[in-house]
Amino acid sequence: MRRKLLALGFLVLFGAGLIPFQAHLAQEAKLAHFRKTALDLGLREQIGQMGFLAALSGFRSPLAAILWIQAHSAWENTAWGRMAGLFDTVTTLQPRSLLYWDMASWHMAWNASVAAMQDTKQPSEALRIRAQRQYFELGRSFLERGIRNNPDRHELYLQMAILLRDKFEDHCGSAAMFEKAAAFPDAPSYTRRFAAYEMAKCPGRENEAYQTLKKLHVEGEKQRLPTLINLLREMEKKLDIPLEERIQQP
Amino acid sequence: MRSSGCAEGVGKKPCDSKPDKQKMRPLRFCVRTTRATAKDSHPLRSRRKDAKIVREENSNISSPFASSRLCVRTLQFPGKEAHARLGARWEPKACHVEHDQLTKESVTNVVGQFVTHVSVHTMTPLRSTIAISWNTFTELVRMKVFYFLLIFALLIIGNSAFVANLSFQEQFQMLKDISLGAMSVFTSLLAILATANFLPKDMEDRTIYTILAKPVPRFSYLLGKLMGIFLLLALATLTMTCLFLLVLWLREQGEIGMLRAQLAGAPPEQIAAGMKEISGVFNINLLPGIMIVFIKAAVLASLTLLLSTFSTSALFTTLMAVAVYFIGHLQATAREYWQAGSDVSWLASLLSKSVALVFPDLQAFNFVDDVIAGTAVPLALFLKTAALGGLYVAVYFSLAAFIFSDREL
Repeated sequence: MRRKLLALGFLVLFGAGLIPFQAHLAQEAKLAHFRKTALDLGLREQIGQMGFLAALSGFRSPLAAILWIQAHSAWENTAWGRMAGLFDTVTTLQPRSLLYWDMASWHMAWNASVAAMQDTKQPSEALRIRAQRQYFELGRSFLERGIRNNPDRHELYLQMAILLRDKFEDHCGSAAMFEKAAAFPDAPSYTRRFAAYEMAKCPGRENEAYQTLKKLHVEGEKQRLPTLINLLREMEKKLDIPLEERIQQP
Repeated sequence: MRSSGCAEGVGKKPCDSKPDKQKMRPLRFCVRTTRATAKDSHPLRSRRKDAKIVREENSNISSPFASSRLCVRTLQFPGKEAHARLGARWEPKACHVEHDQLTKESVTNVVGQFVTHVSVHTMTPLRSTIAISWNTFTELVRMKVFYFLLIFALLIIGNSAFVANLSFQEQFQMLKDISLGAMSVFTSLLAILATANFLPKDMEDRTIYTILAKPVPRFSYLLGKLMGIFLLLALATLTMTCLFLLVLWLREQGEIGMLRAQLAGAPPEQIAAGMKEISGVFNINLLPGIMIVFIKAAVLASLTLLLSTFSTSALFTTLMAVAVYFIGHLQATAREYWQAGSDVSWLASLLSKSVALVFPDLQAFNFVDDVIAGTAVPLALFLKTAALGGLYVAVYFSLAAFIFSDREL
């Protein structure tokens, strides 16, 4: 018995000595974007007691996968409300998984919004448009939360830029998002072009757009796509650029 | 002098023959009576020439748990008193002892005309630990614990049926989520169940009494058992990793083949972009995540060992270890709660402090969930986490050995 008590005493002392190191390690992990899942009461309400227990015991990713498959079944049955709830849980469980944020946003902003607009059970067009906008907002909300959880990745900035461009027609916001995505070294080369295209449509940024488009044009053949050349010519006319400074005609 | 415990299995063999190094052979010894030869290099050679070797015994004890060699030589000096110093330098050549590997204890006994030299060469604790760990590993393998790998294989291959309608990115995500999550849980369960079982089982089978009756320290016994379990966990993790990577690679190749067929005739840039998306499925960061899964299982095994040193049944140990597993995942929350210094009741405060001090932080070893999502593991973080795991293993094992050294069996 004496030895057991001694062992327990040592264990407590060891635990006390380890706390600063554990806190330091937790801090370092957070800086490296690990363990961002908020295992709180809100999540417990979403996934139930058993799911919460599984999430606590390192079974978070399989649980997210199972819920994602359920969400896919809900999509096949066009149960949009259930889908949104499941996506919310999945993204909470796996906040670092870009695919979940991206797909959740896409389903809401593209599929659910179109379905809401074509809802034959809703005779009022105003209400259909309202529902559609709510789904757009839901899609944006997923991407915003995704970006907050993954500020070190370009993919969600890119998706947000596309969403703002196609669904909200917010070209200034879209340009800003494309620019943020383009700042990442691993971003695709088209991101910079797209940023310039959106900038050209953003009131007050035309000059900046022209300069960016020209810079891209100078870079070489790879950037000289028909859309870029046409837009550049349009901007030259719009901004009344002197002829000698304009790009050469083919 | 250490007890040799060499009282069983008798077989004749010439004294000067080389001893067999195989572990599972029964005890051999030989008895020879001869005269001392002029080759004897002892300074008192003149006196030893007269001596008659009346008994020379070379016993080789080999078992999975210990290896000792007992050399006994009795010299008779006619008409004279034997000299005690004579035996002090005697080296039993017939034993062929590998001195770098074995410890040696010699005793010389002088009775009248007779001098008896007894030299016991015992296996070092390291060698006995290795023997026990290998024995534990083979025993666990024979218990067919690897059957769980079949379930793992079914899980990762069978999940295709559920995800057939999903996009290929989603399919890969599901495969990684389910496989790595299952790997983490299976290794943890294996660590707990295999460790919780061995001490009660050895006591029930009475194997522990046979082992500890040999010159094997309790420390070596426990260490050997733990090492055997680590070996099993390492092999299980390695097998699951290979299986997972194989399935991932096959699926990846299938997708690449399909993409090539679909994009036949498309510009090379387009094909390259598609290939990049598919070939990015395997992420090298998965490997440090998997290594941390093994370290977590090793921590759980040593913790279960500590619990089993004072528990009386495998069931109790298993239940306790499972409870600690869950609480251990909450340790970080309890620690943060305590450190935040929130205005809470004394009971809640005491509870959070107890959890933070007594239980290990198992959440610190939970890399897999984030690694699947593509988060890179910084080297410093990986090394520090591995060091934390090593520290837990060392402390839990030391405490287990401390308690077990005094335990009545």
